[in-house]
Order: sequence, then structure tokens, then C-alpha cells
Amino acid sequence: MVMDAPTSQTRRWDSTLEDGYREHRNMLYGVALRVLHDRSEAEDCVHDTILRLWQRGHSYTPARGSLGAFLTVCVRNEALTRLRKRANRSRIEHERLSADAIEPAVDEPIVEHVRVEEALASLSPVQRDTLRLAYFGGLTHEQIAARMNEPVGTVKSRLSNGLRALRAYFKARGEDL
Amino acid sequence: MTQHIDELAELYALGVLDEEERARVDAHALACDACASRLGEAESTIAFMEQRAPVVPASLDRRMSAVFARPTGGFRISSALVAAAFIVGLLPSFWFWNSARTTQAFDAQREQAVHAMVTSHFAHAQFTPLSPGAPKAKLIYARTGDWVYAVAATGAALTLQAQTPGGSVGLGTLHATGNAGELFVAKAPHAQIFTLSENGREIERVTLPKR
Repeated sequence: MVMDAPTSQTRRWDSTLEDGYREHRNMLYGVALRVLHDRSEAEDCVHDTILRLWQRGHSYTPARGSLGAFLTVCVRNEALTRLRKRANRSRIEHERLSADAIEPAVDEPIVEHVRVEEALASLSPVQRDTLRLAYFGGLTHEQIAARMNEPVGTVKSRLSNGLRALRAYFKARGEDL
Repeated sequence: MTQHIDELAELYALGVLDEEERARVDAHALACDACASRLGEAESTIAFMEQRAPVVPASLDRRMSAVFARPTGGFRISSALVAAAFIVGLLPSFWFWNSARTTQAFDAQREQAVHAMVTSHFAHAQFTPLSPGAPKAKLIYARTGDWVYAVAATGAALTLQAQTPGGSVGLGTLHATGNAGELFVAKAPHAQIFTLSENGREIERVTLPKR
């Protein structure tokens, strides 16, 4: 359960959230759009995520670090939830959840995907495949475990270690994370 | 959640948890700075991976178009182009460009090249000489686009061709200034092989990885 902040803190949080949204809105919309591939739904996704944070109280603490990163992951998680609900509603797996669709379906200058692919290439093949199913494929850890015929615990450890390895890779190259 | 979130931090950031699990992680992170810190690191990794070029508003595009429509005030060396020249190992040649007078069309082409390089991901490959004395030359190319930018350490009138399945397609003559030549092609065929010719004779070629 997410706690409501006291009144004075709520006022600060409102201001922080509004500033955070204004500063990162292009990024947030872009993240939602890349997951959902639908401008209208991406807009709804960002709107609903921020609205929920606004109305229900904050779940951000300065110990968590970057507000932009926090908002990015909030929006991305909301977009992935919508994607999975969409797939469930239609009772067929969405194209991005299919076995053949773990490549990013993005038709824009993809500097960032080259950067991610280079980092993924530094991982072991099995770790790389697991992370790709999560990051590009949008699968849950249970779905990945079923897909790879591996125990859920193994997949969770692999995802956790894999993301930490990617962070180490980026930092070793002087990236400012 | 009284237990530390441990590996759930990375799973949360990757988006593989359901809403209920995420809410538990959020609640714990509010009360535990150590876990909030680990969660923040995972989130910043994902945010870094999600970074994209900013969406430029249409109003700025319109204002910049007005700027580009004005006559240029003469050639000013561009730090981006110096960087590109440095990348391809032609900085000494490039230096001479700064003192050279250039035509407005040439400046416009150079502006196009700079714009292409700063707004898209590019790579470069060196031409392989096919004859003795062929100048050092490289092809800078968009990894996910159509443009190519040929640069050569020579003032000779070299021509650039794309070798397509349908045959050789001429892309133009390198603009020579001092001992350097360059040609930016905004829409080049998606060929793997490009060649440079002098007086109709192919003198070097480069094979690009599949794009």
C-alpha cells in the first residue's frame, strides 16, 4: 500500500511531481508510445500514471534517486500492464509477446537500441535472452519462465543479475546513470 | 512488506512484476532507504536505456527553418564536423577547410551533413585503395537511414558511386577544398559497396556491414 504524505509534504510532492512531469514529459510519452504503439493510448497511459501519483499520494522518496527515472519506470510499468491487459482481452498474445517479436518494433533513429544491444552482448547468451524477453518482449517473469522452461526463481535471479551487469557495463564506460 | 526487496528491485524496474507486487515494493521502499537506493539504481538503469532524442517542438523547427533560409555569414568551423573529421582521422586535412572560401551551396551541404550526424546514429568505414597512391578516404553513414557522407584527403575531383544489384549508381562529385574533399548524399541507395573513382577509373572501394 502506498502511503499518503502529510499535508505540507503533499504540497511539496505536488510541486515536485508537476515539475518532474514538465521536465520529463517527452521521455515519458516516448516510453509509453514505444510500448503501446498507439498515440492515443500512450497519452492516456502518461496521463493516468501521473494522475494516480497525484491523487493517491506519493511513492517516491529522495533515497530512490532520480525523479525522472522513477517516473519513467512508473509510466513504463503502466504501459506494460496495459499491453498485457490488451493481450488478455483479445485472448491472443499481442504481437510483442509472441516468440518472434522480441526485437524492438521501433522505426525511429535507434541510437539507444544500439547502445542497449551492445550492452546486452556483454552478457552470457542465456542471461541476454532472458533480459531481452523482459525488456523488449514485455513478458512477466512467470511468462519468461514458461517460455524458457526454467524455474521462476532462476529467471528472477537471472533478470536481477543481468540488469545489475548492464548497469556495471554502462558505468564502466563512463555513462552518467 | 517487512523483508527487504532484494532482487525485486531490478524486477520492478524491468516491468516484470504485477501491480500488487509493485505496490508492495513501493511501500517498502518508502520505509527503507537501502532498498529505495537499490530500486533507484535499477530505475536509473532502465531510464538510461530508454533515453531518446527529445521531441523537438514544431515551433522550434519553424524558427530554425527561418534561420537556415538566411544567407550564411561565411564558413564557421563546426565543432560537430571537427569531431567527425577527428573520428575518421582526417583532422589535418580538415584544418585547411577553415581557411578556405566556400560556396553557399557547399555550406548548405555541410550543414546538412552536420545535422544528419548530430540527429542520427552513424558509423564509418575506410575505403580500401585499389591503386597505388589512392588517397585516404572514409565513408560516414547512417546506421538506420539513407544518408552517406564521403570524405577524402585529396582535392582531386573524385566521384562516389553506390554498387547496387542493378548496377553502379553515381552519387556525385566530392567538393574539393584545399587538400580535402567531401560529399554528403541525403538519399543514397541502401547499397553495401561504395566506390570512389577518378577520371572514370575506380580507385578505392568500401564494403559496409548490412544495415
